[in-house]
Order: sequence, then C-alpha cells, then structure tokens
Amino acid sequence: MLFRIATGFFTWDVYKWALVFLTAALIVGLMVSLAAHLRGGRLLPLRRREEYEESRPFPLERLAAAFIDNCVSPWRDIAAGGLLGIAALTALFAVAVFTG
Amino acid sequence: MTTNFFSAVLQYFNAWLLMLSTLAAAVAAEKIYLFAAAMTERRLSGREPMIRSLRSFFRTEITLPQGARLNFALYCPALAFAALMTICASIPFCTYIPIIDNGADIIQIIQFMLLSELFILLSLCSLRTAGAAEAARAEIRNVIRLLVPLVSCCAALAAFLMLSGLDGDPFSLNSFSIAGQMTSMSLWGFSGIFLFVFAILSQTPRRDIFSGTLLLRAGEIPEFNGVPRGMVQIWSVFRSFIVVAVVTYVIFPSNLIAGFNSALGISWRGQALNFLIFWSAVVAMRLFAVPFCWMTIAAAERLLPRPLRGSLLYVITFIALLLLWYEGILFSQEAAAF
Repeated sequence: MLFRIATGFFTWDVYKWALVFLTAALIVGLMVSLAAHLRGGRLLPLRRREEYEESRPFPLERLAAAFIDNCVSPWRDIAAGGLLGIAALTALFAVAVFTG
Repeated sequence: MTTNFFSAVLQYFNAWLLMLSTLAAAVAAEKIYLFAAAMTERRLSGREPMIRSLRSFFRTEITLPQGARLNFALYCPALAFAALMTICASIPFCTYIPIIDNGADIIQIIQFMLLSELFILLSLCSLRTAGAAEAARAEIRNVIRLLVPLVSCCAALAAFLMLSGLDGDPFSLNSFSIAGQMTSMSLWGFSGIFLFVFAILSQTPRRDIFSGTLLLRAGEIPEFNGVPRGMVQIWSVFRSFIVVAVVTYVIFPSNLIAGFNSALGISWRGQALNFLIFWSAVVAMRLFAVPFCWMTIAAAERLLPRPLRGSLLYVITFIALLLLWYEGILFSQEAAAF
C-alpha cells in the first residue's frame, strides 16, 4: 500500500509520519505567522524583563523573579483567585482519594 | 468506539507532552552550558561575553536581510523543526508510545535528520548574505563530520548484531544497547564502542566552544533576527541533544534501572522513573561529556601538523571500526569452537 512502505528491515508508516510532520509544521508555522502578521514582528510581548534585569544581577534571582511574574502574579490579580485555589486543592484531594 | 477515540487522543497527547518535555530539557541544558561558558570566557579573557537568551529572540522583531527570500527565510526553520519532531516520535525512549512505529530504525532516523538539515540549509541560503553562506558551509562541514562516525558506528554494531544471530532489524535502536544484545562483547568490542561514542560526541555540531550547540554565533548575521532566528537556534540545540540522547542510549545501563524499577510495582511509575533517570543522564552527558570530548579532540588536533588536523576524526573512526571488526572475529571463533 502507498501509505506503508516496507523495506527489508523496517516498515515506514508514511501516514503517521506525515501526520506528525504536518501537525508540528502547522503549529510552528502558525507561531511564525502570528509574530509576523499580527503582533508587529514579536511573538512574546516586551514584559518587565528589562526592569528586573537591572535590579537583580544574579541569574537565579532573575529566574525566580521571572517565575513569580509569569506564573504566580497573574493568579493574584484574578478577583476569584482565592476561590479557584480552593477548587484546585479540592480537585487534587479528590484525585488522591479516588486513586488510593 | 468513543472510549477508543478518547484513549487514543489521550495517548498521543501524552506522547506530545513527553516530546515537548525533552525539548525543554534540551533548552535548559544549553542555557546552563552557555552560562558556564560565559563565566569561563569572562574569567579567561576579561571581556564581557555577548550572551543572548533564547527567549529574547521571541521578544525581538522579525528582521531579514535585504534581498532575502521571504517565505523560505520565515518558514523553512519551522519545517526543519517539524522534521525533528518526527525523529522524536520514532524514538521509543522519547515518548514510550512511539507514534511512528518503525522499530526506531537508526537509518530512517538519520534520513529524517538529513531532511531537517535540508530545510535549515534552505533557510540559511535564502538569506542571501555572505555571513549566511559561511554559516551554511560550516553547517554542511559539521554535519558530514558528525555523520561519518555515526553511520560507521551503526554499520559496525549492526554487522556485529547480525553475526550474533539477531532476528529482525539489526539497525533498530532497541538493539543498540550494551545492556541488551551486546552484553556478550569482550573488552575489544567495548573499547570500540566507547571510541565511537567519543568520536560522535566530539563532533556534536558546534561553531566554537563558547557558543555551545547554537547554529549562529552571537553577532553573526545581525540583520537576521526575531522568531525565525530563535527557531534556527532552538533547532540546532534540539538536534544536538537528540544525537547525544541516541549515543547515551547505547551506553546507558538500562538493565540496572529495570532491576531497580521492579520493586515499584506499578508500571507507569517505573516508566516515569525510567524517563526521568534517562533524560537526566542525557543532560549530564551534554553538560560534561560533550565539552570534555570537544576539548580533548581540539587539544589532540593541535598536536598534529595543520594539514593533518581534520583527519584525526577519521583515524579514530577507523580504529574503532577495526576494534569492532576484531570483536566480530573473536565472536565467530567462539561460535565455531562451540
């Protein structure tokens, strides 16, 4: 069959290869297209990176500040952040109970 | 049928997640290496090194040289990256659920890698500058010097496996492990394998020791910037990391880890632990073994006269081939005596 090419050693599933290749190419190509056409050439916005690069010279401090800025602060800013945190803990507790 | 569809989607979702985590490991290992290299350069030369974080490329505007072919320069790095993901999808220790089930044939993996290289060379040539042409020439030279010991190693090991009576594909990565089919080798065979490992790791593509496995040095082709340049740099890092992973798999003591896991009982916990230990070993190889091999071969080449420096790699590859060939002779003699 056209989609399974068998050699003397291995069988190449062309359909699955094409699926993986085209999916990855589509996702990465969309990222490039997004940056080029919709966001004025940048994929990620200029955040407050320059500020904490000046104030925190050590790489570990910059890493910690970047983690807090990108992962922790957005949750603090959401009004229902507290309720979401309680819901997440409840869900984790339920998973722990039901998986034994 | 609905259950089958959802379980298939979840299975492949997990596989993609694992592939992305290996990408993250590759980038993290490279960042650690570049940080250590920058500190060393600062101490040796006293000048401030030009470091640029990989994430900064995605915060910079896309710029291309004047005269560059627009679509090739923008999208060929994406196609090269996609071709690398097909390699990950074929390697069982990358996903534990090989999406492309071709038995992890190393020859096909090398073919996928060559396809990926082709796209990167297309993207460099499409920039149409002297700097890009120089980078493309350096990349071709580096790839050839990587492929010679890699293909020689695979051919030698496949010949040994066929001699030892392996059924099935002798080029399957599943067989290429000293903890598997090659446990019966003598010291000659192991020496040949480690010499091959040294040769392959010493040719892990690099521009100079302070740039790590990045394709473009800091300040090279400055008019090429933004997301496509970031893709090219991450492609280069990931490609080298996969090569290191394949080499690590050959010498990884997977039988010891399997024995340790048997006490854990639940197979998914054992697989998760296997995954973590293996990829930690790959990161350690990248951070310590690869620079050691780079520096050792550079020091050895400096001892030779200038015209002969490039041939040291081929001499080492030939010696390793002879060692494995001798191992094959010893194996045949034992089999004949039996």
